[in-house]
Amino acid sequence: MNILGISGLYHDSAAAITVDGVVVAAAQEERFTRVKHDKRFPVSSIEYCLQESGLLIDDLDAVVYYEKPGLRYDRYMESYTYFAPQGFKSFLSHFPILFKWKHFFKNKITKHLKEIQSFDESKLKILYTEHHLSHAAGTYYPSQFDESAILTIDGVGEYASASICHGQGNKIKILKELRWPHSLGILYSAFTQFLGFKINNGEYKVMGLAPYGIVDSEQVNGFVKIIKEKLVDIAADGSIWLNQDFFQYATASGGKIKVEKWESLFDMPIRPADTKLEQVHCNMALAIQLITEESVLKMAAEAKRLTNSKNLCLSGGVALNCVANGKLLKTKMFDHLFIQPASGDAGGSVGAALAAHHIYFDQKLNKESTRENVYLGPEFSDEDVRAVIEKHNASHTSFSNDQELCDEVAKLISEENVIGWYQGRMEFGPRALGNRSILGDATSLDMQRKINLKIKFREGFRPFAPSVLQEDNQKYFNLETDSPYMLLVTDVQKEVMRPLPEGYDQLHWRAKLDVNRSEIQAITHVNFSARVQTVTPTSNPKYYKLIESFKKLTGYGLLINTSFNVRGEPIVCTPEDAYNCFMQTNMDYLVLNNYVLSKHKASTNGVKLSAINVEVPIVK
Amino acid sequence: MNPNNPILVFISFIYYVFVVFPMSFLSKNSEGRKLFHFDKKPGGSYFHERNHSYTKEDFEKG
Repeated sequence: MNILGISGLYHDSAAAITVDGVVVAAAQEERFTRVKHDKRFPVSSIEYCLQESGLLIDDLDAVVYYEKPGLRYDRYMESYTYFAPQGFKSFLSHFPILFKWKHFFKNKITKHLKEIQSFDESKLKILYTEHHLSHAAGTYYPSQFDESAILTIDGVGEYASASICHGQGNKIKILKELRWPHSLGILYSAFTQFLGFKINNGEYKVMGLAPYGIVDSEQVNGFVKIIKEKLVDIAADGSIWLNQDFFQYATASGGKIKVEKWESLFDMPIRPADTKLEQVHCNMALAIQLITEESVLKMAAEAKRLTNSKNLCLSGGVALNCVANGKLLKTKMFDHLFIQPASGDAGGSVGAALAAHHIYFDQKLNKESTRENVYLGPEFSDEDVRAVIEKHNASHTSFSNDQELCDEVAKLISEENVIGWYQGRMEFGPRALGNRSILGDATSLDMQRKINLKIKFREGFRPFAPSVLQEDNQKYFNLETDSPYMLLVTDVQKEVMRPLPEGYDQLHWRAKLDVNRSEIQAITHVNFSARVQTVTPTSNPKYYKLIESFKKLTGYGLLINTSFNVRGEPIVCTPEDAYNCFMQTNMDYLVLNNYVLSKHKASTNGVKLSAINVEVPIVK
Repeated sequence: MNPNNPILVFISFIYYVFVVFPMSFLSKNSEGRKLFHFDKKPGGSYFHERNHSYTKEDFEKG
């Protein structure tokens, strides 16, 4: 049974292929086109998935789109009708597209597939899932649970913005849904806009900014009070109501909020993009984070009440809120928690394919075949790497085995070099998990600033996450479970904390950043939290080996792991992308498979790559 | 499709003026309106009940 799942056309287009229920390939369009959050039909991703799986379009049993364009059209029309005359201008530009998608969507899919290869149209079966079923299936089927509560929360699909489902065997039953225009994801995006970040891109920045807010301060409590009184009502079951007097997203009229009303409500101006961040912005970020956590925890409790399950599967864009996930885990409401690593709309492609396999084709749940694997993207051979080295006549050293490579790279990291680490198949989802990563020493006092400002060219407040050997997890972090996909935030252990100066909690956010607060300073956020990735010898053998080598040298079984990209660009896909990123930044070394590239013939800090390695001279 | 195509914009304009806008007055009490939950319901829930097991039929219509 070969199924192609497709998501996108609004943001983050992607494709995935399942063969007998196993996801064999999945990738996001942005990685190929180099346009961040690319929303175009995912032609390149489909091409890659077909190539990786060795299938032709004629071999596909079905092509599944991750939502129902007709229902989306209906929802838009109802919104335009209700809110008229608001949305008039938006209607003029949106109506033709929506109309075409409602009535001719099948033609659109067929047309794009024909750009890839010719096929027998009469044999092609095109199916559609509900948007939130795609999310639910994308997290439940790979979870390894026989039965589970499923909670999906995002901006909006067709009508639903959140759903509570129950998975049993190969079936999924939807129990309740929260409907448009009330949406927790959109509420978070609205604050993202007000705080000067891009919608559908800057939400994780707001999450990273929140810990700089002053807990229980008058201003934070004041913001929470205003939000609850004027903008949102949170019911006991976590469902929410948004006061539409303050929003304009329902008619897609540019941005999410009525800016003047918000400015008057909060008695402060909207923050223009890239302007100075003040404490008030941090406090507002903390306020909306607290509101979000309250709603998520209550929805999870409702899911528990309805299903009485010991397991919970989470998905949807809001499931990428690792802080809320970490708090949910700590409540111990559920014995087991699984979060789809590609929880955003890109992951809808995987969910759509898995939903069709298990429900439409009524295939049994096969735990082994649906085991989650996040390394689903393209891989490039040594030959591909050598071609890039040759093209750029790059100074390099090659290693004949992984252990020697890892020992050398660990040594470079321990000497405070920043490494671009490029290996194997690309990750699917927004996190780099050791195959397309920038790595550094987590114990270095200056590393956060260095990577943020000189390598990623991003805001100085942004925190970094650690990759830790699974067996050392509890040595550094208060986390009783594995976190293979970096989707849980927890506290660092007291043993690694440093004594704090008096009045630390009341310090300005920038001052907090400079305080030496932990042995593993670079990955300890100002509130002593960290977004952890646990690594095992089976989850990523080569990456595990590298961290192990670093531990042998330094005693610390963890590294900084941040995605291999710079601000505003997608994570690198090919060795050429990686080389370009390396050359445009102040990264010290680039490791492409077993080739170590240096900008300095001999490194600037006196490190010389080991003589036991084989030098491969490539002359142009 | 270029949404700024003047012909398409004109058709959209006509549709809005003669269908969407009048409907906004005529459908005030319709079922569709209830979708929006305009009023706060203190102590209530904003969830909609579905209780639906997905089947093959759910995949066929776009």
